[in-house]
Amino acid sequence: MSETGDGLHHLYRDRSESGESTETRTGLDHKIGHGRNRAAQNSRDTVYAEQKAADQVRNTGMSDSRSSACSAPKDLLQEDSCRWLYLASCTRLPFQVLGRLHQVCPDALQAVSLLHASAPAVSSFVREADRKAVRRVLHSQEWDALPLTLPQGVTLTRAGHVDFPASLRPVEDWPPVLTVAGRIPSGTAVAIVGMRKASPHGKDFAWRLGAALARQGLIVVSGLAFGIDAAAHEGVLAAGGKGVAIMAGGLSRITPRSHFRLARRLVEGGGALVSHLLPDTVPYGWRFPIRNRLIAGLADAVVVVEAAETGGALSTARHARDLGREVLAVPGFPDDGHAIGVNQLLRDGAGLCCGPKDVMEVLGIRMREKVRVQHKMRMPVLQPGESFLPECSAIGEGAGLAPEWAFVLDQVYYRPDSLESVAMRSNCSVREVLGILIELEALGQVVFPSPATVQRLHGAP
Amino acid sequence: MFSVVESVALLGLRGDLVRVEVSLTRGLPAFVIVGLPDTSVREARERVRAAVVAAGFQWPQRRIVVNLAPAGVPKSGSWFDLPIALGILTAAGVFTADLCEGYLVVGELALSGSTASVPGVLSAAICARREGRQGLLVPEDNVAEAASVPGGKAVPVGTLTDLASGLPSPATVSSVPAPPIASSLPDMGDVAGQEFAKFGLQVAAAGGHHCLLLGEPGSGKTMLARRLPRLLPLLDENERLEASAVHSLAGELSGGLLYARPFRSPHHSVSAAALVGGSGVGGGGRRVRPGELSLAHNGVLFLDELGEFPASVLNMLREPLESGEVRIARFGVNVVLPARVWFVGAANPCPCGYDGSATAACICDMGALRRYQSRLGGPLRDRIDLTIPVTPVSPGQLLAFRSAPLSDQMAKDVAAARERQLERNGGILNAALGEAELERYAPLSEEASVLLRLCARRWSSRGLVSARKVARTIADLDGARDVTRQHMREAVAFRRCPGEDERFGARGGA
Repeated sequence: MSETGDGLHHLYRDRSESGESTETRTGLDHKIGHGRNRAAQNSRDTVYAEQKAADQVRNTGMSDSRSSACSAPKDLLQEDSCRWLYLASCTRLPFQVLGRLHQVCPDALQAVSLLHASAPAVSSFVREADRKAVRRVLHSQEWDALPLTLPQGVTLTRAGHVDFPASLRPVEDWPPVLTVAGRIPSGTAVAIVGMRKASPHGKDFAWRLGAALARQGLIVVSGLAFGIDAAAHEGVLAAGGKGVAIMAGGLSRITPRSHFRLARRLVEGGGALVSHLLPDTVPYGWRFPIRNRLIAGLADAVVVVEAAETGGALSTARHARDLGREVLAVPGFPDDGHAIGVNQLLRDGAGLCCGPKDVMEVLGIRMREKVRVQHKMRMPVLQPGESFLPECSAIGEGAGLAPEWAFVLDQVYYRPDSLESVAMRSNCSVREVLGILIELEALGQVVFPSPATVQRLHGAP
Repeated sequence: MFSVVESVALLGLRGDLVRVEVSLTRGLPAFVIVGLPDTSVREARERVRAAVVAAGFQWPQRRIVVNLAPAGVPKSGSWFDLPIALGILTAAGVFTADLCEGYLVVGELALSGSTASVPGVLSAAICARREGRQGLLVPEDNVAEAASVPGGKAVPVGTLTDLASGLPSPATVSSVPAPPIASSLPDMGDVAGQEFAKFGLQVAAAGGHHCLLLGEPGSGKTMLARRLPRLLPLLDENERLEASAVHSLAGELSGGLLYARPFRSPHHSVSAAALVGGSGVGGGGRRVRPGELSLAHNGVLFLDELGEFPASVLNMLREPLESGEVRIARFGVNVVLPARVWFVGAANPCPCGYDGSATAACICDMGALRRYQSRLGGPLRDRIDLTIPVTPVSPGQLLAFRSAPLSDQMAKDVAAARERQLERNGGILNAALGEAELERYAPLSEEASVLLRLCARRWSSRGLVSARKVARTIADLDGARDVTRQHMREAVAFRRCPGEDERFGARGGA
């Protein structure tokens, strides 16, 4: 029995007896020490079931046949992998400790007893706190109940196997087992990270950068978060590329929930969702910085598009520097709140990123073809024969705007600005200016970050 | 030993004729009221008895049965005191049977025998006119209200003794000239800058559209909203009567009819029942009290800090804003209260107020932002035709500003646009047009429809229709016959939601 068993635990017990494989999950929630009421549990179950259904769709058919390279029977190996995942999920053992432990002793049960006994082989890198954490594991019921059944479509990959990401070197610095939905594509990878509350401009840049890099055959890694992350993923998908999203929790708990579809499209597009935790691990806030290290580890270069003074993107950049990855930052205007972090990175010696070319150069890869950051990827979507601008002869590349539209467009800044000041600079009424801005918005030249402000979108006209 | 006095039973705003029949028979002295009285009616027994005695009349020592016919309709309220007392005294032979012939009687009695004012008298007066009666016998305090229905007489009753010497003479309606409403209302010219917001309010006023003012704290949303009433045309005879009847029912009408359009701005702690209407105060639960929404009928309902209202309360507004009436189902009867209002909401774009601001940084976290926007968005937002951006005015502009009258000119344009609509649409405003009527009255030019097609890909069909209505109103304000591209541009500008980006979905998301 668990030492810290409480009422909630018993509440969940009867559920697991009803045949559902909630055994591990209940254990996890419990183990992580955050009591949950039943309603919350139920709602999560719904999501879980939903994802299970989706998993069936995306089942990639990847099996553990590769693990036949090892001598142990398959289910034993799976059990052992689950134990390693469990150690990663339910203790706060750092990556290095996990990796080295695995290096010293690949068998989880043995490794734990070594650790518990403070064997000389492990005493050099294990702290007292780690030992305490592991002692709790040994006494927990869930530990005995392993292995668990993985959700369909989720596979395990283990250090030493062919499909374990090659960029996670040296192996002893990383968690030995990862869970993967889909398949991690091999090749050079670039991480695009940034603020959640990004500016329209920043999201647009991330989208175009993602698309351009994907078109160059690179793999784009990010964190599936709101803002820059999602925009980069979307850009990759729009270009038909392969994207990898690293989750802060388990693969059955994709956050934010509204990005579940995006996650599925990533997998369907040949990309992957990756986590180093058991599928049901809840992505609490403190797990995100740990996730960021994995993002940096999986990428050969990290591009920070927008970052405030503090935040996840900067932590990814720090990890990248520790790990010896290339760090690039997209510069911003000094008084822009979205640019404080990136400008600081640039000051600290990060590479300058003004487009895909800079990234390729840093990585030492030649551009496949001459590709600029694309401007015409977004709307408008015109029907054939439909001219959007009555004043213009042609649409598309080289099409000019009507002079007065171009004039108004020139008065719009690349940061949010009030309609009134645009009108004042354009020397006409807000009504007139807004009419033109609406047309420009439909053309994808400007956006309205809020009803009363407007912002220009693209660099080159 | 038998008498009949006519009175009125209220169901919502509607008054129906009720006959108060009194029979005095031999038997043990008793006093019974039948005909589905609620507690407030049943309590009339004590008040009537005390008042009759206090007024110096003799209480008949008989078995008194009062029947409120038709007996199947539930009665409520305290205004049956006076008709019951009259009936008893008539049946007892104190008053002649034809004393109040041709009049409907309503009024509460105090224990002293004097009368006390009651709510809803206007509905009773309208009922009297409809039923072809001469007028009303009412407590003195209600006489102005009762006399304000054209063609109806109002006989004031101060105390029961007044009636001993026959019917007092009907009050004459003093033809008070309408007070100069317009000049007492705040003027749009007091607001610095905000051209586009002012224009938006003008469009709302002209077409009867609901609107939402969105902007940073301190940008002038409330100031603008409070200046909407001055843009609206004066109440016409019918509108006055309707609006006043609602106020009368709520007991908020003092003196005669309303002259100014109502402007209601409940605080965001308002309950759902207080907003849309519900059980009345002291009415034993049966009486329906009109909510703020109905009290704003033919006027403005202004909800400041819309984002702070509980979602459950806001959702109550969905159907009424579209249909212009509130249906309340109580004790098996549907009560319909009118609720044709100009709905004006004011809100910040996010909880801290500075999302997308040009001057300050927003400090809300994503979760809070999304929760807030989802509360403001969705079904309610879909029913609001105009989203009016309000930008903060720079200090320089503010200091250089000199106010100059503006509302009168704007109101003139509104009146002209309104005239055009009513003539073309057959008596309804653009906001109330259906899809088929839009096709007929507001056909789109080719270039206008191209623009709409491009901009409206993420809109609901209701959003599309509302953009067309707004474009029609803008064209009417311009005096144009057809809806052009310029009109449509402005309509699209008023339809936009904050943070909407085609490619990334709702703000930040994918």
